[in-house]
Amino acid sequence: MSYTLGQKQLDSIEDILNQDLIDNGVRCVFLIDMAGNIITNLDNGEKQHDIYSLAALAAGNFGAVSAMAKIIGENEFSLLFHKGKKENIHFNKITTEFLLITIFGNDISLGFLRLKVADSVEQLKTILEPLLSL
Amino acid sequence: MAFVNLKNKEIQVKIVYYGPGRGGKTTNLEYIYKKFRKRINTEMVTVKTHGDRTLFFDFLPFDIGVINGYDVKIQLYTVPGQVKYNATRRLVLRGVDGIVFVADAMAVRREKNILSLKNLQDNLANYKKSIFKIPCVMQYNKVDLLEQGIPLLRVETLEKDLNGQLKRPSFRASALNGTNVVMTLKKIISMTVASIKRDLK
Amino acid sequence: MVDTNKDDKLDSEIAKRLDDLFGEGDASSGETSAMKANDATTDENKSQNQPGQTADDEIFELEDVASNKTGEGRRPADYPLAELKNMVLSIDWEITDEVLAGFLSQIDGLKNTYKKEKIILMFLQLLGSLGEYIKTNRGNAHPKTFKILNSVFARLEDVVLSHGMSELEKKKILRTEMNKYKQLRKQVSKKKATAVGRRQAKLLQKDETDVSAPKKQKAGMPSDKVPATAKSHDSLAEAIEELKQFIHSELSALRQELKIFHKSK
Repeated sequence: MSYTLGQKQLDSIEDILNQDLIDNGVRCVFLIDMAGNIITNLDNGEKQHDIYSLAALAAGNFGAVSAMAKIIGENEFSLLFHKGKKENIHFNKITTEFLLITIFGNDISLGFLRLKVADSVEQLKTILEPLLSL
Repeated sequence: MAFVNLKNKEIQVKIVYYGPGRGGKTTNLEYIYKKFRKRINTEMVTVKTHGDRTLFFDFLPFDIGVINGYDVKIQLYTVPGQVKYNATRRLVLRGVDGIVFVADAMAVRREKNILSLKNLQDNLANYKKSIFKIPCVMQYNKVDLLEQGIPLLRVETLEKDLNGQLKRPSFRASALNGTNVVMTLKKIISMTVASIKRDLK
Repeated sequence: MVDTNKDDKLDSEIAKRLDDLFGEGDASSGETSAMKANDATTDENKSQNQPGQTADDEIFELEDVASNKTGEGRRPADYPLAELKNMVLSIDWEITDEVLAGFLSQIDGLKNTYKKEKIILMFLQLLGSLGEYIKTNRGNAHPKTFKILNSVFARLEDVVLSHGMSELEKKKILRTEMNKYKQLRKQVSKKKATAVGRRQAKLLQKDETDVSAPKKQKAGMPSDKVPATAKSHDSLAEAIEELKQFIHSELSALRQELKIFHKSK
């Protein structure tokens, strides 16, 4: 499946992610497709990660977990989240093609992050869904 | 690293099919799965993209029965071949006992084969394993394309590029048709199990 | 040392087993020759393997990360805050109407239970205000709200469970939480002011640049949420005032008692 994103769309995506997530304390957020390609990534300037490896692994991880869900008779899991001592990572599917990955510290509660991610996802869907019907 | 369960008298052996993207690694496993489904009796797991490219791994486990008092379980994995999935490849290689290097015999893929082999060497080194020591079989895949007039690399070239120093058993194969797929598999299993047994002594 | 006989036997056993499993196996193409018969692992010394791993079933005791360490072991059988604790932990993971309603309902119930214990009542009031604020603002709540909620609850648990704690100590703890709460309120007001300022700036920009084409209102633009936010600020302010007055009156009473005590000496 191929899709094309114009500059305007990318700018809108970045605005949404900055406003909803980065400005609320999220350290790093990246929007990828299910093959692990990075559509956009933003961070708060504190730390630089190897986002290419992260993206590939995140996609693989999500794919593997989805396969696990099917094995146990679930359509999908509603929460994929890994808790670290200082850093945590949360995954959220957007349509069937995209993943929103957020990396955040312990200063943000998971519940709050999930609310913010849900808000972002609703807005991002309006930009991304039209691409899938092309 | 083979997992030995002394309580259950069980050995788990991990064999990874490695090679450049679109070389035929997944096709090897799919052939094995399709052909021996009734005898193998296990499901194949694939984690792939919508475009049918391996994203994480393909996985096919099966039991080969009791050998020397131990129940030997084989786990076949493939890695994603595309360059960008190197971190994932490294992950899948963890604990590997034996490798099938699936080279693409198409002439245009010559450099990709060489780069992929180098990549394998580097990733193994990451786990302090040597490509010169680990059981390995070379497979020169896509020989069926010769009939379609597609230029293929000569075996001598492939041997020189990929097997000159390693000097491993090698097979010309067609994963699509099944040519030498099982021979490759039998060879790597016997080499790997023998190697593990030697190490256990 | 390698026993050649045993190795050969092993090899043949493996080969036989594989033949049984896979038979001749391959598709007929006639070209089934191995190019090299060399089993090339010439160096037998692999140092990295760890043979003979025992497969004893290891049962890992998972840490109960939800247990409040100060509460552990001191919690009575009919612990009155148990349900509220569940709600607080749930809020940490997922904020839903159901959980928030449950939380606020628990607070109401507990206010009744502890109606004669002013300090605990004040804690519950704090929690209630925070809960209302989250309920009204949801995703627009200040991120620190949740940490403060957890902190207030943890300190409430300390106060409820520690039987030997003096009133003074309890008040001290309450004051600390109050200060955090006030800090949060300041930050919330600041955030609101910045958001209002940004919106005004955007509106001005919009007027300047695009007069003819009305744009769609950006999803989540909280222009209609301002009154709700103001309402929640009012309730926060009221709660703070009440707490302030309570602390002042109690402190005056304490001072009086101390004076009497010194005089009697």
